[in-house]
Amino acid sequence: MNASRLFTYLSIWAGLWFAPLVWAVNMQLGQILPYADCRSQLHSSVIISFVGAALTSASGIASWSSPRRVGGEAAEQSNAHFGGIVSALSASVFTFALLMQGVAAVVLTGCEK
Amino acid sequence: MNRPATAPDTHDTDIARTRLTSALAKTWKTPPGFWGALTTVDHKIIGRRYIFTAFVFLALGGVLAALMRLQLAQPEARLIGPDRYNQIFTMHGANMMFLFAVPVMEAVAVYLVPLMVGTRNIAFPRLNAFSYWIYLAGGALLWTAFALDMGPDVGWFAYVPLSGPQYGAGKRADIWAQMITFTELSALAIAVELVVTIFKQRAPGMTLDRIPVFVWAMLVTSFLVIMAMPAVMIASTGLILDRLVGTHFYNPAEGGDVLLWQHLFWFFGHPEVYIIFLPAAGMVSTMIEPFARRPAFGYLGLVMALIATGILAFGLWVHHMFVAGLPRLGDSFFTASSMAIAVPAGIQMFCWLATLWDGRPVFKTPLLFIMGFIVTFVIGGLTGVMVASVPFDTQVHDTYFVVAHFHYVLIGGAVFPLLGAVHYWFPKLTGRMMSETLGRWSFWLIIVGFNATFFPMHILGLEGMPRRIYTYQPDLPWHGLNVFVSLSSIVLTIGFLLFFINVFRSARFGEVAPDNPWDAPTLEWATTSPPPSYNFPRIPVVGSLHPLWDDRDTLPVADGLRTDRRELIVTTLASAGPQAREASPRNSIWPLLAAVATTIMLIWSIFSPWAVVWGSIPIAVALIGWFWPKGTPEDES
Repeated sequence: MNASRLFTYLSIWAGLWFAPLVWAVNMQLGQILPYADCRSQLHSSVIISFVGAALTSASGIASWSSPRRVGGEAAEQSNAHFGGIVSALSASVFTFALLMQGVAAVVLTGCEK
Repeated sequence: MNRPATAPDTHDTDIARTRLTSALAKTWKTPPGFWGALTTVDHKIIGRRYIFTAFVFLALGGVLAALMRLQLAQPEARLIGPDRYNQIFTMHGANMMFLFAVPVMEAVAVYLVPLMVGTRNIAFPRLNAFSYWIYLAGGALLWTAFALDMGPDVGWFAYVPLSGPQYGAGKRADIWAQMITFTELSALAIAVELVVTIFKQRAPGMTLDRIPVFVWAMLVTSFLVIMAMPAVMIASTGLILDRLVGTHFYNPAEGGDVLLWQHLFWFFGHPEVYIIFLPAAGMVSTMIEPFARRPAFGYLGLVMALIATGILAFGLWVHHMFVAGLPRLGDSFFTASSMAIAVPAGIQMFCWLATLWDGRPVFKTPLLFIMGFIVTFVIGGLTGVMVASVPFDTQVHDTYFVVAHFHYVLIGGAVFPLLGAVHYWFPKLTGRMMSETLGRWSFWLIIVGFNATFFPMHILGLEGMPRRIYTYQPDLPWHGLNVFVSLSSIVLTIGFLLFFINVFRSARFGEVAPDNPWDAPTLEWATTSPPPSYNFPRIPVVGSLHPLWDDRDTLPVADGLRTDRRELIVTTLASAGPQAREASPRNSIWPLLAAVATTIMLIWSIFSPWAVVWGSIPIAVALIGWFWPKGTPEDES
């Protein structure tokens, strides 16, 4: 598999690996950053959550648009089409979760126990 | 190995059907009698055995529930003492979660997935046999301990320090912890088998977009098992080490952490809910098609919902720990994820409703249970969104509101679809239909009894009744509702009794079922009911998501497999193109012997750490026997 083909397949499935990865990282940061946010009032949780939402949206768009670059047999195209749509839909769910986390971080300061 | 030119052709190409089926039956058969029962690796026999055992545990857990309701029917009752009551509610929870809910879902998959993907046996069939024996041993350990007044009494999540060496005297907590090892071991074994079966043994042509939704659900569930269950095995092993060897994993005085237990347990415990729910959702998506008489609406949405739910399930565990004193901002991230998971659940609901809306529904018993599931699970989901909110959860934590919520989710979300599934796939397992009349009676009794039993518990919780209390004072305002709940549980019990009567009666006297009584579209109905030992005379070739609807009379098949040895087709991961012919192991006693050796080691290790050293020797011997070449044709592979 050459680099271009590998990139195409990574893009197709981005909504199912990159979007969950961003969300998982943000979940972990959500356990670590409140202490820093409370001390410095940087609102880093807000910024990171919304940047994460932008990234997951981008991964969804990549998943949606990449299948058309796949040639080859009908079965391969069919799998790419399926993977692209499922990944794009999945990315939208993770974008929603990240947006909700961003909104929560806007409301709270990080100091509440 | 090349076949000598003079050897007879043992492939299934150009062979008459009767000769083919008789040769396959000889190769794949399980010998009759006791020895055959002990050595079989047929996924259908093991699946049936698993399902039966899990329902026995359901019945036993139900008896415990009835005892609790009897005790709580009046204030200051003296029927059950506090110590026994602690054991009973712990046994009820542990039994239902670890010995019924998870195993029964995997058991249904053990039976159905190989048939649905069009193969002749599950991957690693001896591991499958081993997993059943280990599961049985874990269940026997727990119930024997209970009978000997050694049943665990620390709640189904066994929080430390209550279960630790300081407060958990005797061996009760150790029994709980080691039961976890047994059941998780068996669950992990099945998960691995299912992943390999689904990835590599699908019928030729079954591309990703032609996989039945139930099979997708089991694939996602299997990954959840593989990723979640090691957490609780680590947790319970740490607990046993603290109790037996004197380590301090959970002892803050020596640098341990009590909250570590909660994190490890719930990192498993919340995905566990979806390990139970996702197979049920897959069953509903599969069963709804023949009864709505149209393909399920939104196949892509249904698959996406299963996968997204499976991933999001790992970001919710802290919502069980909202009162543990973590930062509120961190908690709110888990609130957000807990609410976000309602989105894929909602998508599934809308897909099922749209399927029914646009179809021509036939309200047979399985569809009645699906309707009951939709209503009940939505109520459970709504209270789930409520308890995902920190301020509300703080008020109702450890009250009967939570008891009501999770019974709505687990019984409504998993048991109702499962009961529907039993009615739906019963003809496939037994060759006989279940009684519609008894089915309808049991459905209405169960749905009415369930709601009358569990809905008032929401109110009891809001009135402040804590869970896990063995009695309450007469001046508290809980008596009336508790009487009502206990009386309602009788209706629920009668409903379940009727269900069991229907199962046993129909298995013996039920109307003989045709091969495909529901005119269903998936491959398990392409073979006889019940299926032969080899599942399919020739492996089907799949050209669509609904092969039996789209190729109703002329389902294409693949040939070229040998008939004198157990052989199946291995296909490519995504496109399911034929890749190789692979041998499937024959029957063997070694999985049982390995399970016996493992059981001895695990139970012995409750009492002595040296059991791990000496007990591993028989296990090693059993494994060597397991893998030693037996001189069968399968060894050539």
